[in-house]
Amino acid sequence: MASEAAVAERHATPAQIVPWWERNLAWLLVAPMIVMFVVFALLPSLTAILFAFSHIKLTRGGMQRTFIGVDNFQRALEDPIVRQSAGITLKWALVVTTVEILLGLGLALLLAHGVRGRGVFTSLLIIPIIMPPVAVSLMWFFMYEPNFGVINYLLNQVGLPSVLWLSDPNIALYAMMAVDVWQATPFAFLLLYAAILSLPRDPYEAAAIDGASRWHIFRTVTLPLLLPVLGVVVLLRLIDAARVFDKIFVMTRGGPGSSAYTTTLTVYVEAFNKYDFGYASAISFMFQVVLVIFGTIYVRRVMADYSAPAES
Amino acid sequence: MMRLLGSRGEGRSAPVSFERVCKRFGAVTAVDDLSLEVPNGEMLVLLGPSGCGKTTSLRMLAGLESITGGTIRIGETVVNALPPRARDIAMVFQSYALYSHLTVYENLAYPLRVRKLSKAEIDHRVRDVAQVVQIEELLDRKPRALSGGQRQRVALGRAIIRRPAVFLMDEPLSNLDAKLRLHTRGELKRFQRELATTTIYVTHDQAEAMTLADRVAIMNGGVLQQVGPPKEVYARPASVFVAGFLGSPPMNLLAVEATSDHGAPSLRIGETPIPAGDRLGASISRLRTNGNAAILGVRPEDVVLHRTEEPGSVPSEVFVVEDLGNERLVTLNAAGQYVVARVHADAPAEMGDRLWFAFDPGRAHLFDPLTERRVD
Amino acid sequence: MVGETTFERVAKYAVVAAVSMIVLLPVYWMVNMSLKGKGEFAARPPTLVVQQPTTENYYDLLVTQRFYLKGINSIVVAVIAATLAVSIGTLGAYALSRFRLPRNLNYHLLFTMLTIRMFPPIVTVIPLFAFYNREILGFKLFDSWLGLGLVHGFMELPLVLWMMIGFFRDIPRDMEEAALVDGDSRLAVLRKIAIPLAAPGLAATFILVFIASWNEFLLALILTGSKAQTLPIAVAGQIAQYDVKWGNMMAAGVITTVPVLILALLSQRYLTRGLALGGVTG
Repeated sequence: MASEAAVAERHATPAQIVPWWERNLAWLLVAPMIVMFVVFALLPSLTAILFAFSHIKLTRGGMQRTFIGVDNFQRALEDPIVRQSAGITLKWALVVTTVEILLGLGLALLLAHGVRGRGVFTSLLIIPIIMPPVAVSLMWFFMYEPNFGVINYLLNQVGLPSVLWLSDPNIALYAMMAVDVWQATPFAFLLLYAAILSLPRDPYEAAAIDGASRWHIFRTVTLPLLLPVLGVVVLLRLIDAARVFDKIFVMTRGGPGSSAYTTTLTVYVEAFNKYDFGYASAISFMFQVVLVIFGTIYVRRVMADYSAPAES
Repeated sequence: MMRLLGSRGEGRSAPVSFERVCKRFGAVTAVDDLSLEVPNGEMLVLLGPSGCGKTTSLRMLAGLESITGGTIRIGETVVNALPPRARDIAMVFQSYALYSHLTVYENLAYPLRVRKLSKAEIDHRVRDVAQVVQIEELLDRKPRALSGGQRQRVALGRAIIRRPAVFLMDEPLSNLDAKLRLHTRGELKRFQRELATTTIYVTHDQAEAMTLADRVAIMNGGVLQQVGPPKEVYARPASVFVAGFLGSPPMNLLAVEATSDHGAPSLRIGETPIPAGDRLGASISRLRTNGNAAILGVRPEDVVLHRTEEPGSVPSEVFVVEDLGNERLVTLNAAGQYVVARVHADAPAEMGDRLWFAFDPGRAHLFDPLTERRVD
Repeated sequence: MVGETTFERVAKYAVVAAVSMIVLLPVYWMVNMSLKGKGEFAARPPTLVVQQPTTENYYDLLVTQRFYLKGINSIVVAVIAATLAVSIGTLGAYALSRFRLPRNLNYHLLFTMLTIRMFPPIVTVIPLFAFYNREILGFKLFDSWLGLGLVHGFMELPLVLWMMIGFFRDIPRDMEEAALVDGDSRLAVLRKIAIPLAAPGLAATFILVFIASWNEFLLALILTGSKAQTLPIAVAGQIAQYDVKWGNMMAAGVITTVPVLILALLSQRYLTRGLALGGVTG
């Protein structure tokens, strides 16, 4: 090894050729995104935790915060509305995800052999995916309208009675779930379909030569190959469905009554109708803890193929 | 070409030196203690099988790979910590690495634009180089509209337009088809001699190495095996690896026993004793092994076939015969060891024939089985 | 693959047709109704194809109710968000795909940034609301273009990172190294090689962020008042009015949908890549 000191001495020049910002370029490039994370995720999250342990009173000039320990959490756990909304959120997430995945998967499998006009069909399915949820809500709100909405009109035409789609507490939640299914099934389909089309052909041919039945091939070949993507789609739908807000807010404001209060809606009402920031933060904090579990699994799945670059 | 040479001056070719250079990726040592001096203007070819560390060495010299230990100099400058742009080098990549979003003209002009040369100067030089590498009519095209050979020329042009201190070439011919490769190889050699710029050329193709190099540096497993002019490396391989790597087919390597026959040094292949003669005899006396084992190297062209037993010839059976047109390769099985003989196309040999082979001990090579180094 | 029976083929096309109808008919109905005047709107049975198409609903909404202002808000906020997310995300993605940071930080950083995707915004929006209502240097972020644009841009950072890492990975490593040898710094390589080569992907990513911001509801609802209110929030207010103008409501649906639809068509090729990260749904 050459004398390290001698080498270091002769290295004096590079410092002038390579300015400091270039030597630390990697850090400088990731810095803005880290700053954003700190300002918009880390600090708010920490503040939210602080809020959750506080009673907050909004005043003219700002707000007064008093530390009250776990009172907010205790209250939340006993609050029937919070409990009810947790149940509704869970029901919404599970039902909506199950239906969307099953429909999407079924459709994807049906078209696995290819279909004429595939391009047009998939383009078509992008419409609901990218439509603003508000526009979707308005569209369905009008179709659900009891007196001159098109759905009741069609029901009447075939001799069925009108239904109070969005004002019957027993129906409203499901009617809104249908809207979500309308919007998000194409999403599940497109992802699963892309995955199915990119499956390797060989196992199929091998299985077909072996004389395996369709169901057997699906269970032993397609499903295992599809499972990673299926997992990602299920998790993503669960996470997104559990946060549902816009559709319910626009169509019924969580109603009729509080029959369609999801957790996000409950937090919204507590925070921005009743301005009880502390209480709202406590509820949302518990909500976040649950979602983080699913979220972490999801991100890990999505990143399964990621590897860092080999060399600088 | 002459014009290009005539306008030289700003870029001056420089020698290159590797001094105890190491490169480790985690626990893997890619280059181990490499010391190598490349004098000014020389064309040095780094030769070896894939994964031998030759490309890593080149990339360290280019600044594309950090150096774990040791010192690399270009001219007088230690370049260890310098970014590639400060090393005054130009590189031709195996994939050519042409800028696919730029035209051929812009590709050639790129290194000059980076250096903020005047528009007129750039234009002058681009057209000059385009003429040299014969791509004048392609200047407005994008790389994807070029053939493999044309792309290679653009890559070469982009390298020489800079007039760097050192050219680095990473398997620049390996993506060309066989015929074009031969042609380009010759051109490349002419360019290098005329530009007289130090060139480090990496390849796994020994024919390329032998034809292009002033000196060849053979690497294996991250370790430099031997450096020398092609003829010398071929004539006096320094290790079993070099002996087995160079030549097509490569040198026969036989496990032999060093003995002495009535005081005269001799070798035993199987049961056959072979008098070693003076030169090989001297080598045998320098063997440092404990036992008598040695490795004998004989080039296929030095193997002589006999149809009958002669003194000092080894009995064997013909395993396979391969005709190459002007000559034939006869593979012999001598008591489990295989020996290839390169013989005249008319030499009689059939599969299963019983033949005796012999060789001139004065042209044979001896290696120590432990160190695998040459013994002279 | 294994052959299909005729029955299966017929069933397949029947399902494709049915699904297409289910997707298209509601949208068609919205467009159809938005073009009807007051008289035709109330007609029973409803006219399947508008008989006397009129733009009065659109005129009333955009001009009389001045919703064009909300549209401008939406556009400005979305442009701020997309510019921010794409520039910051692109720099980060380049660093993560070209440099090896110590301690496996490449993985951990990306992991952390991707978790943004699953943060329920309702958690952070309460502290942000409090923060936005403070005056900083005489400026309140609440109800401002910048305030909402910042949050929207942040929310879409994971999408940008994910897409751009993919695009950067597609660029041959040799090409960037050639530029380094030819005399560029890493930053110059990013500017002159990586970004031009990833330009189509960059544009598509920009569009996806734009769409996501345009569609976003919860944050826009909470963090804006009347000044910077975006189109979806304003349009949602149509329902709350005691005297519902149905024609306006349908026109509002069309107006919020059309820009997004056009943009989606432009970036369709790259849409599925973005979908893996949830793309624009939420």
